[in-house]
Amino acid sequence: MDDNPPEGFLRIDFDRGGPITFNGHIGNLYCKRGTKGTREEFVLGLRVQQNMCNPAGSLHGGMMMTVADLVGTMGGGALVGLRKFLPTVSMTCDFVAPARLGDWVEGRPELVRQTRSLLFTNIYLTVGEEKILRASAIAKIPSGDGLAFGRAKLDRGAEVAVKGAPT
Amino acid sequence: MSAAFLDAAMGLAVWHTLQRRAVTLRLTLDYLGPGRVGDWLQAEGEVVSHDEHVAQVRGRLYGPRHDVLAGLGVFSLLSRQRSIQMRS
Repeated sequence: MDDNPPEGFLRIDFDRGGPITFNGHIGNLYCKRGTKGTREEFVLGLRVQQNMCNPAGSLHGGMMMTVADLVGTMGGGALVGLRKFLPTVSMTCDFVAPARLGDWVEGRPELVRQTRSLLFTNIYLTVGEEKILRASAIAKIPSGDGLAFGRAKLDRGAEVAVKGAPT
Repeated sequence: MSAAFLDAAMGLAVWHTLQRRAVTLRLTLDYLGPGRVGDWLQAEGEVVSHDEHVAQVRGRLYGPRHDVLAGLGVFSLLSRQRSIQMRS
């Protein structure tokens, strides 16, 4: 099945040709950036594929938690303007509803509080208007410069391909 | 990865102690330390208490040196008759 992401979503290239890490392995994840201060400021998206499903045929809870974790660290970091790798120290997940094969799932962070060393976020995963997972996460903000945010980069090449090659 | 692994281990702990299939309702995780490339990690799950419908489970994921992840879960118990429809 084709991912067929909605308008504005770009695939995240986590490893950029380097050794494949977990995030690059689990499947295609997409990102959309919107106007600052709106609900659309940072949105992560994915199309539920067969290899992301549990034996019951719905999106695996581990996949949901992985995506929520990424929304909390990448998205939470983006909301406060940090481009660092933020390790998660604690996360609570409530599995509210299942997502089915072929569903388009979106994840959005909500900033609760930022301290010098910690970032508190709420994360919701949704299918359309329906919430499927609620998470509350705490990420560590490393002192100093920390690690740069890995290799992850939006696949701008795809954007160019959609809009036509640059002249 | 570690979250999914511990979730599975805690679900299996329910199956082994109660002979009931279970789905996760809530999972609280504390990330205690990193698991490095090459580390052998293993997980333990323990059913702390349960009633007819839900089970409270404690889980621990650990490596050769230290604990990696601590988990507390609430699992909904499926009825004994119900079988999960496996896709063929």
